[in-house]
Amino acid sequence: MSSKIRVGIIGTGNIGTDLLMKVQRSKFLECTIFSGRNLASSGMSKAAAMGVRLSDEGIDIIVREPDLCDIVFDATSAKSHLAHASILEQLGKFVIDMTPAKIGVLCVPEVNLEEAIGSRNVNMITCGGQASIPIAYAISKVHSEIDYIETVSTISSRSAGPGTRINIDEYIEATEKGLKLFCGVSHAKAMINLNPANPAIDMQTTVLVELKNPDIENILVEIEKMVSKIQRYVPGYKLIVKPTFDNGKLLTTVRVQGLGDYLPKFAGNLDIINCAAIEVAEHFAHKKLAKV
Amino acid sequence: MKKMIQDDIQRSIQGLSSTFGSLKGKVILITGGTGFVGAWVARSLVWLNDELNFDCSIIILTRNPKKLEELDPDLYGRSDISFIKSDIRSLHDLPQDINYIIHSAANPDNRVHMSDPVNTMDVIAIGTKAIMDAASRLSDIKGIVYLSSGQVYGDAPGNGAAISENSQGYLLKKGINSIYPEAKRYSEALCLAYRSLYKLPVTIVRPFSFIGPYQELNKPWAINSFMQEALNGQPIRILGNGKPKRSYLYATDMAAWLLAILANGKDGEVYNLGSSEEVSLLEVANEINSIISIPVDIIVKNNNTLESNFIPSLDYIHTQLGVKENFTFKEALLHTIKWNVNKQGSNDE
Amino acid sequence: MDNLEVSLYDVTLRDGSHAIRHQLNVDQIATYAKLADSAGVGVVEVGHGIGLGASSLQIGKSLLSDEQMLTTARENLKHSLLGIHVVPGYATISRDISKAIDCGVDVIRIATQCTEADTSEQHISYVRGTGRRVFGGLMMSHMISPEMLVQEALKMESYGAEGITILDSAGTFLPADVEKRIGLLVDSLKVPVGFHGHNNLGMAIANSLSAVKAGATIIDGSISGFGGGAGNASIELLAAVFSMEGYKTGVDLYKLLDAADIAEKLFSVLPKITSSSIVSGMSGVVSVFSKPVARVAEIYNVDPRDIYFELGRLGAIAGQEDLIVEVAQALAIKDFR
Repeated sequence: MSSKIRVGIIGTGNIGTDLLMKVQRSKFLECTIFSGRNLASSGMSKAAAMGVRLSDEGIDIIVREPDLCDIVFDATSAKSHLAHASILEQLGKFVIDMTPAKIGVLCVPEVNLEEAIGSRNVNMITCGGQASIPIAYAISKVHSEIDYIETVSTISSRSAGPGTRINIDEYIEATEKGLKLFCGVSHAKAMINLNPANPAIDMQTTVLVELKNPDIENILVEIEKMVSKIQRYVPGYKLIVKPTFDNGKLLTTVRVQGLGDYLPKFAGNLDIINCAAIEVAEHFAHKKLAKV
Repeated sequence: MKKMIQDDIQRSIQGLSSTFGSLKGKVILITGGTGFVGAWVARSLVWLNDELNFDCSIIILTRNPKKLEELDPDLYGRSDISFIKSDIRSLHDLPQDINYIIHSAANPDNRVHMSDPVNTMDVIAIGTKAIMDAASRLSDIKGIVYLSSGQVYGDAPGNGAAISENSQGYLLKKGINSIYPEAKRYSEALCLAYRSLYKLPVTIVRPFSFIGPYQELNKPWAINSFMQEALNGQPIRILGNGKPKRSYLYATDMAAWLLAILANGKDGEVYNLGSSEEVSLLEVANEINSIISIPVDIIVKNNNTLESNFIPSLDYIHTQLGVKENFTFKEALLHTIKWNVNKQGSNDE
Repeated sequence: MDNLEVSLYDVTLRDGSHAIRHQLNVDQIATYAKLADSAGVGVVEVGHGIGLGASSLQIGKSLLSDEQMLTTARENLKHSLLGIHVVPGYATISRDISKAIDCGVDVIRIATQCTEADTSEQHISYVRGTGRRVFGGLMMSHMISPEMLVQEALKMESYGAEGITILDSAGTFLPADVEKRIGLLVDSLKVPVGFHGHNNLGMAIANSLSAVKAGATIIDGSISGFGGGAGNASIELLAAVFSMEGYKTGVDLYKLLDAADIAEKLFSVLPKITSSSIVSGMSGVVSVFSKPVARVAEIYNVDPRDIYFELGRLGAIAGQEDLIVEVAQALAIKDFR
């Protein structure tokens, strides 16, 4: 009997290919199908070189051979995921949605991992969401009175592909939804800058809140706790501006350097969402294997 | 609307159908079959089947057959149309019984060329190679028509003359505007390479501008914007001086001419596809106003003094294949607007 | 043939918002909108300094909501068009742009960093579909070569932009830089080309004149230069200089000059060239950083000029105000050592 849980990845762009590399390194996961549309893409040839089974049929291969895998990563687009979700649900797959479709349980592993793996469709929100929500959550734990949180992420221009660029509004809407949900605030604002500087800059995210009497000490304790938890699966996640208070405004900044698997190190934004998704998949796999 | 479309197909095709004998009983593959050009060719073939018992089998290659269902449910549900669901780039094998191929897969929307230039080139270059490779392994392939683009001629000639197939073209601008035409130019050469090596019967078509039902009005071309503005009751805005001239072939003529090329075109040849009836953009706007029930303002913004004409010379296709324009620009526009008004009406309900 | 008509695009009530930490009030908007309207400027742009949906802790909260600002301006404009500035990544179609259109906005300028034009496709197409006028803007246009700038402008044109303005957001251009870029754009685009200057190096008027001589027909300005950093090109000066050079702007010069006198009281602080803004222009750092840099330099007791040069080295863009604190903290530690 195999001691690993089988994983399918739909979507063979940068996200899908990087996920594949992380899956193949995992003790609990193995990729049994890597499916997209274009066998000539560079992600496909990377996967072929790794000896992974390929398909150009997208989701249809899993419909035809449902026993191929238990977990499905959907790394296509929000629009495609809306069509995929019900199909995968009928097939009884555990789905980890990498798109901003936001129809499943929104998940930030350090906050609601258990809830997420109890569901059948987990949404990874956005890259900026994975970087900022844990910090925002840590602050809101100390100051439950907060009613407004904002985040601003700056990413390297080169780490945003055509899909992200054309759908920049989707990114904002999904990140804001995540902030409101996890921090219990009624208003949230997410902003994103694409920076063309060369050499490419690492992704960074700042969280800002309005506060009257901030408990800086406890905020720092909570944030540092959170940062070290996240560093377990994203080693390049670092607090670079400690909570700083000025004129009623508290600000703190994290920087995310990626692992440099398929994606370059500066694309920490893409790496963190993939690392978080792997965390969810591994936890699901671990539980499932323990039951057997 | 159905009747108008059937009548229009008939008007375009009836003078030619006697020369289409070689298509009878054949299997015809259309790539990009859910696009404007591909779907109109399918509609015309279906008409030949229904009215003249042509008994053609139509195979549509598309990434998403459902798109045709949304666009034209009548066409989607037919027994003489089947689908191959695939990205054209990863196509390997085609059904052995295919006799003819119309290769029209490529997105002509220049907004997409701008935002996703690498993918644009990929689909055109790798997609054409995949089709030609698969076609070279078919045992009874009688004709392949490749839809290139009138844009391979580069910038419009300075003297405003109609562009003939022999025109060497004017140097393309460097940079992003040339991505689509250069990819098309590469693909034309690729087709000729397959013709040379495998003797594939490839004919190249260079399409210009078309109008007709089923064309989305939110496309970024002047005439589409004008119609959209006018149908929304907004003023028509002409950015330049309104003097540049274009020509528009009506959809059913376009499809009939393509079938004529498929049935009787010479392989290795290049044919322009378009209309020779020149209209200036200002005339286009005025014509739209004369058709719609409540005319709108026409604002000529005079932002530039460009007067370039982009008109195909059709001497070659007219004489070689005996095709002609069956719809004047005015009629083509009238039918297109009628169809869109009807569509708007049914959406509002 | 020389195109002798130039449209003045008045950004006082938008770029000026930076100069007073986004505290534009109803009286200022109403009063100035009326003045600009009666002077006959082409467009009156209104809003938060970074545009629609940008009021935030990061950049600064505006006193009034977008809706309040737009409605106030709308009520006071008869002839001039009401414009807004929209940066994708800050404003979204469903949350912000559609509401602004409901407020009666006439002209929407979708502006991106000069390298990121493709983030504007959805927004430009959307506005085109509504029938409102839509322009494209390329910010920090000094950051790429003139040839690349043309490529990005062509993208916006293809999406449906009816004019493209390049913004010298850092006030770093000299007249020859502007002439080269505008000339290439005019040759390559079918739509009108515009220029938006900043006065960090005292070049805003000279640069704007250089732009129209190279074929630009939309020129941004603000009353007495009321704008971010060292301010914009003074719109009354633009009107004066253009009329001396034979360009028609359609404005009533006397009324615009009167407006400038009134503006001095209305806005109380008018921007001037300071040592910091000179350094900001030299280092190519976006002008609107001036207020936050001054503030942070004071807190961490570092030389603001060092902050600018470091930000310039890092290629900072507007919206990265968080970087200022990071840089200042790093400089403070270095100084301490």
